[in-house]
Amino acid sequence: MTYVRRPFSSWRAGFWILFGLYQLFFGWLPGDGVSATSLACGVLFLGGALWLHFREQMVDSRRRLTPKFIPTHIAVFLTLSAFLIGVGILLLVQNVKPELLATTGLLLLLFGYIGCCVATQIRILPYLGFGGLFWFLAWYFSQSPHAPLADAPTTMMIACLGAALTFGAMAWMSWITEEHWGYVKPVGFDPVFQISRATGRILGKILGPSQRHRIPTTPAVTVSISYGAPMANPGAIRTALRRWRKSGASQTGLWMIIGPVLAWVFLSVRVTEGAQAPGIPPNSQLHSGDCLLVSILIGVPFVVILPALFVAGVWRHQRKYMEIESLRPASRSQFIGGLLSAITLQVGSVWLYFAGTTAIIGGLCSIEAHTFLACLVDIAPYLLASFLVQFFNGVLCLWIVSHARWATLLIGVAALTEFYLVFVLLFPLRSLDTGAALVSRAPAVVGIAAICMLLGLILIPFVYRRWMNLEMG
Amino acid sequence: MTLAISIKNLTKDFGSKQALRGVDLEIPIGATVGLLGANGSGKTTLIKCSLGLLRPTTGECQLLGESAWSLSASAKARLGYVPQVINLYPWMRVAELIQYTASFYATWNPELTDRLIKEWELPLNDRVRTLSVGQKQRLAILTAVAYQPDLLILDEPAASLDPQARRQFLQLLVELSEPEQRTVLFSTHITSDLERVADYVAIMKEGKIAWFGSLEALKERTHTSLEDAFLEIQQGVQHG
Repeated sequence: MTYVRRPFSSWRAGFWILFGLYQLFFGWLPGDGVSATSLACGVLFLGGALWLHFREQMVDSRRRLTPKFIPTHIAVFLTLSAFLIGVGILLLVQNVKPELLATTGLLLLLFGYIGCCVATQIRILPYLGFGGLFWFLAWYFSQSPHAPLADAPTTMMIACLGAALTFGAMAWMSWITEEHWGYVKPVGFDPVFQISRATGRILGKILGPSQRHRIPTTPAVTVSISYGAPMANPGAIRTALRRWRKSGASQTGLWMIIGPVLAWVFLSVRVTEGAQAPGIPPNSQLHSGDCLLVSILIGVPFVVILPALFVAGVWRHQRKYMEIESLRPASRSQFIGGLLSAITLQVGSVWLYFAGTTAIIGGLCSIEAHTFLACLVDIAPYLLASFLVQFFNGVLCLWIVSHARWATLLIGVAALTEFYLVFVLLFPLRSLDTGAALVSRAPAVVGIAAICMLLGLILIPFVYRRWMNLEMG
Repeated sequence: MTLAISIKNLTKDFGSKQALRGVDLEIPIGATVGLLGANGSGKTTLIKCSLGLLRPTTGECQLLGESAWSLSASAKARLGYVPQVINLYPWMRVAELIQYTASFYATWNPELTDRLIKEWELPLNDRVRTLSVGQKQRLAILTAVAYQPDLLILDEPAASLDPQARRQFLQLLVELSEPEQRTVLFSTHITSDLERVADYVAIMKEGKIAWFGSLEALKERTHTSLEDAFLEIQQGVQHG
């Protein structure tokens, strides 16, 4: 039973399971290759959660005290994996052929891989996977008749850039967490832990320590600390900024890593089935522009979905500190106002960062600058729409954070549903014909997104009232 | 205003469970009150309701002359609290956390802070997540007392302290409770600690105040030690 209960007690694993189930639902919609990949990825999510639980059980100290603990767990894990992971891989191998590998299918494959990385928490997986994915996509698209990247040097250059970004991110993360290696122990078999620790320490000696706050200590026992001016009765925005910055919820460094990597992954998908306009030969300027436009559009779901989701996940952890924070010298309305402002600011900043990196990375990999600029103008309404829906997603995030841990899952499901309703059902990516079609549908998308924004604004007083009556203890 | 804390007919329900059943308590300004009670008697719930962290089901709770649920910023600036479960930002360094807390209070005492850091040997450069439970508790106490609040509420503050640290903390508590305008309310299981510091004792039993009065009055009534008096009152309510 623990293999059934455990995934749902971990919000991360639970989110990916729900997302997988969500995709399973959409997998049954008609579409070439999509249903098979959806099904495969859905079961892969479940398999990832199983593997997470299995690893935790194998390092549990009870294994030495409970009779037949290990054989029982191995038997259960293998049995469930045969039906879930095995079926998923089988479907993937049998049904997914290159000509049927639609853009949405690739998207789902990537989600499945990310899900397994999150669920298994094997450190090397994300880095190897992203690097491998870049190479695979570059190789695939350079050989496919649909590919705009017909010349090997450009393909190799983009693939090398992708790999460099990936491993650079790995080294950077090792460096900024250099101090943590002395306190962290790996869970189970994790050989990359040693490599990451060594990398972090080497970079620490070359680049210097990553921490910014250095309190000088003298041989004398008494230490003088600079306290600065006390913050008496601050305004809501000032409180929000101070609490946001000081409470560590900004995590700017994390976004600096995630943003370009995610944007790059989706911008590397430069073609989709049927993206060629009839009569237009491949590798033509118009074809390249359409593909780039589609590539940028593929980044839109992440710009829509991820900001509120990540922020809800971060601030969910902050709930336990609100007991003592609510007793700081500020009235209840000041405290709640500052807190909600801080969360809202972070949703907005994460959106801005993702939207910005999506556009900038698109420019870096564009073949012709004027094509990219033209596409950027065309994609602007979609970015505007993604901004408008953040009002609803942001309010949802504010409401979610006031609830129990499990409620964080809801924001992922709600944001996904919203994305499909606003961006996909109105304009299915899978049936994309030309970039002109995208542009013609933009006003409708912006209109529906504006409705989402108004809905979010209407809900704000209700959310505020809930927070004002919330018990902090 | 002569009362630091005024609680009238306070009840608090958590679903079907009634944690507080009509609590009446008045703590005068300048008193040092020890709150005794068995596990599950409602001590922490009472403290949280009096701080406005929990909303009472019925009854009234006033702190420093204001409603506990809607305390003003000036009232909170005079309030210090050490919870039973210490939650400090694990990623902050000790010095950063002290700086962060100090930025909220105009009455922060740097000399007291430096003295406590020295006495308790708090490692300023270490991150909070690397501290032991006792060190975290000492840090929480420091951040609550360093700005010299008029009302100090501590929920089992010495539970995780080693004997030396506990002695230092009790000495500090005696020192802090000396000013006439400062009120201290602390809950504890250790009767010997209470005897050293408290002027008044409140004993809780099954969500009610079973006894409240001065420490001397309690000892005179029972002619025994505080621990025996506590047990006697607990049994008396049980049978009564």
